[in-house]
Amino acid sequence: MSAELDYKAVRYWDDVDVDDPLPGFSMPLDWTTMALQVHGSQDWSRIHHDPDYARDSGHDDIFYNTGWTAGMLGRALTDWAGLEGWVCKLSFQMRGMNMNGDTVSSKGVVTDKYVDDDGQHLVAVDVWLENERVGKTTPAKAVIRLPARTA
Amino acid sequence: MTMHPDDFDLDAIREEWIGKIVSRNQGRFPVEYDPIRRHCHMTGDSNPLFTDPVFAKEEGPYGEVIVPPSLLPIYFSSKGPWPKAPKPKSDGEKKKSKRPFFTLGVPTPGDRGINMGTEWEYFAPIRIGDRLRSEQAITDIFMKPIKLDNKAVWIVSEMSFINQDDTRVAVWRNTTLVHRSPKQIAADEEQFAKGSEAA
Repeated sequence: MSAELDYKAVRYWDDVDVDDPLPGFSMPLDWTTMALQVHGSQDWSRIHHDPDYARDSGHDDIFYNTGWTAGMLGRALTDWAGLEGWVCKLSFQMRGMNMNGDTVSSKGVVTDKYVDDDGQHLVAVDVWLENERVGKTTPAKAVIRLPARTA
Repeated sequence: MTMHPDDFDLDAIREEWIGKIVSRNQGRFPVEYDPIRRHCHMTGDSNPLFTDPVFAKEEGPYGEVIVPPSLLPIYFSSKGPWPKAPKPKSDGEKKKSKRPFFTLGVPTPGDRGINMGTEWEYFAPIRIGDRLRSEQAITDIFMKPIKLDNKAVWIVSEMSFINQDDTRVAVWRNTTLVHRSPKQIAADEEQFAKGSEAA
């Protein structure tokens, strides 16, 4: 898990640079996190909690679901965006699987900053999940609106 | 219910299904604290904008706990996962779909699903107490082989979320692939071999 965050802190668009990292966080996956995944997402598809069913479907084991994946990516974004940041867009591809026994990290980096036609101060971010077994499992892109000191 | 891949007519399926509204739902419950708290618990997210009503009201910019951008608003714009909502009488006359929910009713050779990609846009905060409704349409259907199944079908859909003030607060675009299990592939190949022998 990450160090204690100051959730009252405001991140300003002016203070962000391209290539700035998003610190993110890591989580080891076990049967408890599997149960929390089902509990939190209310996704009872057996492929995410029933190893026999997952193997019958042709997979090595159960894998973590979309709701959990989004939660991992979303937390890295909102932890970084601060009190007044707003996640405008989030997209991701499920290219690899996260399974029990993996330690999954949610990380990111700033790829662009700009002001759009509506005067919004925006930051583009690449964010992803990775584990030591397969590398990047879930590449994602997000756009975050931040307050500007100069606005 | 599945079909043999030889009976799957992609052009006809696309003609029938692309652009079709496959669901319109009014949320049975308002946006509530506990589903948000459970969503955050999954990933250890203790952000008080999502988990602390006092902080959200007194120090947050939205005046109330809001739905995090990673929690799909469909949770609050549908009948809810459990308990089952009572069915209107007219539903009894409808033919119940035997297709897995993730196919959105689209006929496919397989009945196993994997979510492949998703995209959300958030236009306005969704606060505790909001009432949401949704509308979902199919936007694309195509075939693209995967290692598990060379007859996998990909289904793309878009769902809009609207609050009690008729404000469109979010949109969700999703891509699901539907594939056959190894057992079904073996059965389909056996059926094909028998058909070839008979011919």
